[in-house]
Amino acid sequence: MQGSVGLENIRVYLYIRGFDRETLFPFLAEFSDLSVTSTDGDYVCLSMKNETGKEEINHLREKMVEELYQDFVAFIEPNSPNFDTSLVVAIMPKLSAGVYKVTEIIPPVVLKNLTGVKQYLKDYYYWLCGIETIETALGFAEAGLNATKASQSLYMHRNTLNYRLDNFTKTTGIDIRTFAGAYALYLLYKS
Amino acid sequence: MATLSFRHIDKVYDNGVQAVFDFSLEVKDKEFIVFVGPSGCGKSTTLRMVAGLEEITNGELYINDILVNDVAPKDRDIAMVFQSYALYPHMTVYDNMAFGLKLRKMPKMEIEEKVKNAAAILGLEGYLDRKPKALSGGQRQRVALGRAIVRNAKVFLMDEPLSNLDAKLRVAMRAELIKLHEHLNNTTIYVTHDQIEAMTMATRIVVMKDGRIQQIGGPKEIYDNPNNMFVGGFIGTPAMNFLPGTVKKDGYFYGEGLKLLVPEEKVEMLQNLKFIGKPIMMGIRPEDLHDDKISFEKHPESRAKLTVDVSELLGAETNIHITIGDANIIAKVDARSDLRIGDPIELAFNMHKCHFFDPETEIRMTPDYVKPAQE
Repeated sequence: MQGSVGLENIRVYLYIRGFDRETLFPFLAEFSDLSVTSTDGDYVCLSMKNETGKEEINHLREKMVEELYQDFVAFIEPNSPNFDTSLVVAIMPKLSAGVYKVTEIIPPVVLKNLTGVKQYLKDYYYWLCGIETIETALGFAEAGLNATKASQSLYMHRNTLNYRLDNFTKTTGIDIRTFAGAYALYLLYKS
Repeated sequence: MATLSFRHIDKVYDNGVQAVFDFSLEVKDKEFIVFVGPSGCGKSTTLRMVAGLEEITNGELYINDILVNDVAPKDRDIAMVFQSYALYPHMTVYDNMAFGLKLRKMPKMEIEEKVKNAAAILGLEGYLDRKPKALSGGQRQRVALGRAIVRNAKVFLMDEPLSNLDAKLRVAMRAELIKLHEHLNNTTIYVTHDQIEAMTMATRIVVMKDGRIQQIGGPKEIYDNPNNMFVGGFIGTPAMNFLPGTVKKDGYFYGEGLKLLVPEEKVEMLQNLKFIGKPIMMGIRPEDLHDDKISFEKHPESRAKLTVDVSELLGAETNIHITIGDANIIAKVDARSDLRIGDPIELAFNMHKCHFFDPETEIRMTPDYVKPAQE
C-alpha cells in the first residue's frame, strides 16, 4: 500500500479492524487537514500536514470512537530515507490501539519478540547513521543521558558527542535526549 | 433505563499480561459510577470492555440483562463521551449534534427532531447556530453530552474527560457534569485517577489497583471505612496517616514515642482477633488530629508532644507535617500561621476515628476479620 503525498505532508497509516467504508469516508472527509491516499483491507493511508503530531491523531481517534465506535492503531511514518514502512504496517494488527511513532513502535516490537522487524530496524539504523553514531547514542543512553559522563566513557570530545547525538535525532526521528528515545534504542540493540 | 452487570470479568492481553481480574459489579439504573485508581490499575481497560473496544477474555457483561460480550460496540446503546475537545470547530452546535446521525444516514426530519429534543433538555435551543468557539466551557460540555443523547445512548462512558483542563476549569466542569447528571439521569461510568473527582461526583466509587477491585461503595462509606490501607491512602487529601505500633493489654496504642488510649470497643475487637501485643498499623485521617484546647480536654490520654517538620497555611486550614519514627504524618488543623519548622506542638488523636490494619495483609480489621489464606 503506497500512496502519493506531497513533500510538505507526512503519511499516517491506520489499521482499523473491519471498518465500514460507507461511514468511514464521510467521517474522514470532515477533517480538512487530512486526505485518504489509499486503502487496503483494514488499512487506510492518510496524508496529513507535516506538523501533524500525535495529539492531532489522538484527537481523530477520540472522534472516531465517539462517532463510529471504532478504535485504530496509527503509525506515523518517519521522515527517514528508504524506510521500509511495509514491515511495520504488517505488525500493526499485533499492537494495542494507539498512535505510534518509530520510538513507540520499538518497545512492543522487542517485547512481543517480533524478530524480523527488530532485525530490520537494527540494520536500518546502522545503515542510516553508521555504527559510530549508533554506538555513541548507546553510550549516551548507558551514561544515564549524561553528556559529561558519556563523553568521558566514550573518550570523545563533548562537542563531537553532541554533534553525533543531534545528527542521530535528526536522521532517525528518535530523540535520544529523552528517556523514551534512549529507552527505545537501548532495547533495540541491547536486548 | 439502563443497568449493567459485570460478572467475573477478566482481561488478559495476547502477551499474557492480565489487566483485569475477576471484576464483578452491579450498576443500577441512573447511577453515576466512578472507577478510580492509579495508572495501570485496569480502570480504562474495564471501560473499554464496556464500550466493546476491548474483548472480554473471561466473564460476562450484561447491559439491561442482555449479554453483550459479542455485541458490536455500535449496537450496545452506549456512548463514549468526550468533552469540549471532541467538538468539530467548523460545525455549528446543530451540526455537531447531528453529525453522527447523518453518518448513519438517518432521515433529516428525524435528525432535526432528535437534535431539537436534546437541545431542549440541555438548554441549548438558543445556541444551535453558534460555532463551538462562541460557547462557554459549560455549554461546550453540554453539546458533547448532546451528541450522546441524540444517539439514544442509555449508558454514558467517560474516560478521564477533565484531565486536560486546567485546575480552575476542571472544578467548574465537574460541577457542570454533576448538574447535568442530576438532570439527565443517565447511567454513567466515569473513569478518573483523581480521587477528588471520584468523591464529588460518584453515586458509588469503584477503587481499583493492579487490575483488582479494592472496594465498592458510596464516597462517604469509602472515606470513613476503607477496606484496606491502599484505599485509606488513596482516597482523601491529604492521605490517611499510617503509624506502626502495638496495642497492649492496658488498652493503649504504643508507637514510636506515642502512647494513645484506644476506645474500649476497639480494644475488645483486637482482643477477639488476637492482635493484642502484636504489630499493627494504625490509620488516622489528618482531620482527626487536633491542636485545640477542647480536643485536649476531650482526649486527655491520646495526646502526643511532637515537632513540626513543615507547616502549610492553606487559608482556611493548616496542614502540619510531622515525622514520627519512619512515618510522616499530616495534621489538618484550623488556620494558624505561627508555626515554624522545629517548633514543638501537641496533638490530640481522636482515637474513636482511627482504624487498625493487619500489617501483613493491609486489610482493615473489623470484628469479623479473617486473615485470607495465602495463595
